[in-house]
Amino acid sequence: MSKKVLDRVAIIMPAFNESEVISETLRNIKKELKKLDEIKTDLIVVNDGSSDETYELAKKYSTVLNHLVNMGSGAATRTGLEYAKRNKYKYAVTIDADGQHAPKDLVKIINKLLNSKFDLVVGSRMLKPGKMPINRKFGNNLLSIMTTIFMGVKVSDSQSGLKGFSRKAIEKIDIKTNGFEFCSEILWKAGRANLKIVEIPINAIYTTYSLGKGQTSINALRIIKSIITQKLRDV
Amino acid sequence: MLFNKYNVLIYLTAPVLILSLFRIMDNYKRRKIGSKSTIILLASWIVLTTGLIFNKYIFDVIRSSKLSDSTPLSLYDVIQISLIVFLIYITFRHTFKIEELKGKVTKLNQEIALKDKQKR
Repeated sequence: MSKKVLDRVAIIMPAFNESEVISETLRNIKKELKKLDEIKTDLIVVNDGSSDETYELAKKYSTVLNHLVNMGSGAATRTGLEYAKRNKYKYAVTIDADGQHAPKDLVKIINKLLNSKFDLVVGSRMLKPGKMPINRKFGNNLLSIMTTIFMGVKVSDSQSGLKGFSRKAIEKIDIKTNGFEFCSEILWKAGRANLKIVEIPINAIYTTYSLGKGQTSINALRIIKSIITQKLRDV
Repeated sequence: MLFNKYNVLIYLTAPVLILSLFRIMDNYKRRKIGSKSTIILLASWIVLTTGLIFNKYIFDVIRSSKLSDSTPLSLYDVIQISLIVFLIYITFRHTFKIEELKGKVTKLNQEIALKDKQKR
């Protein structure tokens, strides 16, 4: 007998060696989620083989799925989405663990998911670039252009970690890549499955920590390579 | 002239080339690689095979059109080219194996994480 799809939202947070900030990030998110009285939300941290205290700290505030070895943020996100799928969550939202996303924007994404018919809600930092460093702006624009050309999905911030998924999107999007390139893959698969995609502006909080944890130029090159090979391999 | 150097090069590389083509088709049949990957891999190996089969002809054409003035194939060249072809084969094979293993480890990692949660 199949279980009923509940009106619950799974907040999925892939985390790798984030002990410095994860407690504060989770506390801030929990505080903000308390304001959503009528919506049941569950915080799910996917500890991606961290070698620090991330697992122990995350356990105090959330459900933790533990990867024994580090596989990358794509693999961690896939585990989180698979958990949401198997546990019949109606919605899922992915968020970065480094604290670069404002909890208020997470709530904005949840509200957009619940009050519209969109399947994929992308929080775009490029619609509100603010104090984004110039190299980030350039990198994000370049990767978004590449995603548009190769994946056929036009978005302003293809690498955003703050994304909302409807049940349909959770079921249809099957991530295959393990690294940061999964962001482009999600958009590609959403486009291929004819899912309705919308972008909403979000703020990015840039701290020395989040800038250090974010994507490097090498990662950007890896993503470009992966976008091209994904297209060729027809993942 | 069954054993001139150009033919020896074909004899030495032929097993590797045939094995590669068979492996690509076998992996495709077992659905280990997609159709686009199969086409790309087959095309690469067919180009290489064609180049090696017609190596004498290609060398003559290049020389007659003065694109190169290198000396004809030496025994050292034959061994070197054969080894390069063999290394290309090994590289392809190991890349494929690593990718396959990576996929399995990722899946295993995911299942352990999810099953571990179910138990609690």
